[in-house]
Amino acid sequence: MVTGILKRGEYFDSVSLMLIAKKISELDIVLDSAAVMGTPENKSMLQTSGLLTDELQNAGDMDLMIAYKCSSQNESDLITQKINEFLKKSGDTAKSSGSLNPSSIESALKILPDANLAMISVAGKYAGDEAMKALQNGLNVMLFSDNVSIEKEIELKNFAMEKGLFVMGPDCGTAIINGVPLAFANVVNRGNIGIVAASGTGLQEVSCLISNSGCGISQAIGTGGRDVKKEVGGIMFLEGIKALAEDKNTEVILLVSKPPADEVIIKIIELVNKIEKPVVGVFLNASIALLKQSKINVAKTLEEGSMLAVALSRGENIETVYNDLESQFSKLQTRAEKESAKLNKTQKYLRALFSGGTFCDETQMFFQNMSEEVFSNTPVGKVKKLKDVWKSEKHTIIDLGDDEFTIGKPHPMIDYSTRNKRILAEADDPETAVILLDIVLGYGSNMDPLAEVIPVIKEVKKMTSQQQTYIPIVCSVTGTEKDPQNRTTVAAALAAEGVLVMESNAAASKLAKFLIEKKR
Amino acid sequence: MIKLLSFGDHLEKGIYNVHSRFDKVINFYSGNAFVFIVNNSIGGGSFNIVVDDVDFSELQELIIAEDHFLLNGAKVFFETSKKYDSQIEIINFNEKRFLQNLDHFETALIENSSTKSLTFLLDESRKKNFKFSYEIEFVRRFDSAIECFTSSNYLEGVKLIKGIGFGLTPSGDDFIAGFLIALNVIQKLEKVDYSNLIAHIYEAAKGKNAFTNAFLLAAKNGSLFDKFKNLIHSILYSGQNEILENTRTLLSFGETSGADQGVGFLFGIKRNFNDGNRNFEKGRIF
Repeated sequence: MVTGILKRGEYFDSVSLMLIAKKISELDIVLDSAAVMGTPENKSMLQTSGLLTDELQNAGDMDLMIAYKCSSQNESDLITQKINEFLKKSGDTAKSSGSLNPSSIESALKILPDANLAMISVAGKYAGDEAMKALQNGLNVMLFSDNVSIEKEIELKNFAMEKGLFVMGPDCGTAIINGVPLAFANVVNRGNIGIVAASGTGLQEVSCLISNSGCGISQAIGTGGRDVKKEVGGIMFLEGIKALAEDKNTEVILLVSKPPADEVIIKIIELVNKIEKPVVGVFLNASIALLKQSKINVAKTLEEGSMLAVALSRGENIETVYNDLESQFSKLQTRAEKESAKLNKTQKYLRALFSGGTFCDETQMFFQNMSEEVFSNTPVGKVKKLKDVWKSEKHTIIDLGDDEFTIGKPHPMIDYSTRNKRILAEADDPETAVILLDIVLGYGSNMDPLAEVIPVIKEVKKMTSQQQTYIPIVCSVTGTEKDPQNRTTVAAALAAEGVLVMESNAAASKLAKFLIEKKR
Repeated sequence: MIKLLSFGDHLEKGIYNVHSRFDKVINFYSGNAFVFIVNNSIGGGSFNIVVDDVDFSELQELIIAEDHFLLNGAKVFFETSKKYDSQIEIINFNEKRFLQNLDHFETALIENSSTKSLTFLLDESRKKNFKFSYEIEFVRRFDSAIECFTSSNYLEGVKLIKGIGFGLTPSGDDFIAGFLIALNVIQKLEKVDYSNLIAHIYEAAKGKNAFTNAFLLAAKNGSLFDKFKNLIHSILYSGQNEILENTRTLLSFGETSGADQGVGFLFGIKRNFNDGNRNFEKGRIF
């Protein structure tokens, strides 16, 4: 039977229309379908296709027509219900800004006079001024916007310090304050570990790993990556440490950052040495010579940092962490041996496609000393810059959240399309030995990542089976059971498709590295 | 306070009402005239007013006057320096580079576009993405239309594809707009006169959808929105990397609209440049 749904005067941009059409076509009980605007020509096409119903005959050019074929009335009712849900979801997105919509910081404060934090996400050139207005009104600031000048950042942070307020950012993508996840953040357990991070995905990874181990987070303060550079001098990173040192709910402090400037490391060490609480530090790719002079428990990876923090928060000996990592090492070696035996002679290189920038840095740390050349669009350490970011060379590690991939597009944690295309391209390259991915769950990220990634994995399997090859896909899933996407569900679905799902990006990177080394 | 970043060179005076609204675009209409209030990520166009510092969800009223516009009652003067020039100027034309760059554009289009775009006309293997009966009919009509265009039976070709396909501006109309833009560009490149053909195609393509008609009118006049203008500029004067970048930017225009216009443009150039007598290397099904 054929059913037609007419939505008069409902406009959907083509992206939404295609998405709705795709979702309808993916319903198993749908035998045939179309979702198009009601032009006379489209009506004639539906007629030729046997999908034009009486109701749709009356559609106008600006009406949306949805037609589908299924086997029974029951199925038809179910499909109609699903379609209405899809449409409502699209509509809700478009209208979502309409409820409380103050036009200034001052008017927002009239609506919420007790607010003590403003989250600012406007164009970079205006964001600094808005942040200053918030500070002048006594509000702490989370500055999600980037492209704020470094001079403005310093001005804001100095002003905030004088007022006893915080400025998290600019370019601060995540924080958890008093249990409330802000921007890209996960639903984690409350607990006694406080985090200061100059790294968004880094903060998400450690907070999830801690929560998944059964411990929890007191506060997670983001500072924006530039805070620990020489020019800003770690103003907010240091203030964050002080705040956690004084916070009665924080018993262990975990610091996460890409390498800070030496001047900032020295200031951090001086401050930490005065604190009685145990402190763990993950400073990716930083020289540990300076850090060794401090009482900071230095971790090489985000995973190790979170394990140390957990051990300390439980009052356990940190040697247990190193034992656990050793045991993990052997297990990964065994698994890598098994996988590498399935590769053929031409398969030599890693192709890592990340949505999280910090993961890209962390994986480069593992691969930078490989005998073959390693390339990235955001190189660190000994890694070389890719000539063309759209084309992989030898070992390639990509941050798809970098500007060149996101112009006019949502962040890759939301929109998987760029990465999906790249996965297929890498799978088609006979030199690809392993594809390494991250999936980051939580608020702000794509709410249905499986719908995005599983079809691509199936396609890779189909391609490789036709070519009689095998490409292992290794993937870490950053998230928790309480995240709206549910980590276990996502991880289980990936594993069911043959993906090698790892607990952390560090473990995933190690497995990928061992696999390539065993292949030699 | 509204910040004016640019305003189109074909805005018509009048009192406008909201036609449709999206996150970054509010489409206003007055009779058959359209004005699009857009943010900077959409960019300039002959009917666009590009603004910053505006809450799009609150926009309701637009009045276009001689030297200013009123948006929700806020008056903003048209500063001459912010007038968008939708025409492309062609100087120092290098035919060899142009032809090479068209190949780069074709490759970029195929590699980066949506599976449901008209790029199946460039790469037959993409037809496998069209499985449902409407989609199969869609492909069939385009195949027939291409045969008509190839035998210079343009109006029959336009009749077959106008108003069909996906999106608020159907794929067929996007293709026709791209084709009209190509004819305008060839007029400038070869100093030939296609004005009659352009006018006939436009008249045949016009429908009851005023929104689509506005796009077609711009294409008829050779008026380009800046994403398309940048792309053509790079095909004329730059190299592979810039073409790739501008193609990707064009493709961000709707799910398939940018790609469909691009395919129409490419077909228009290949069919008509040098009177269609040039042997294009890639050619594919064109």
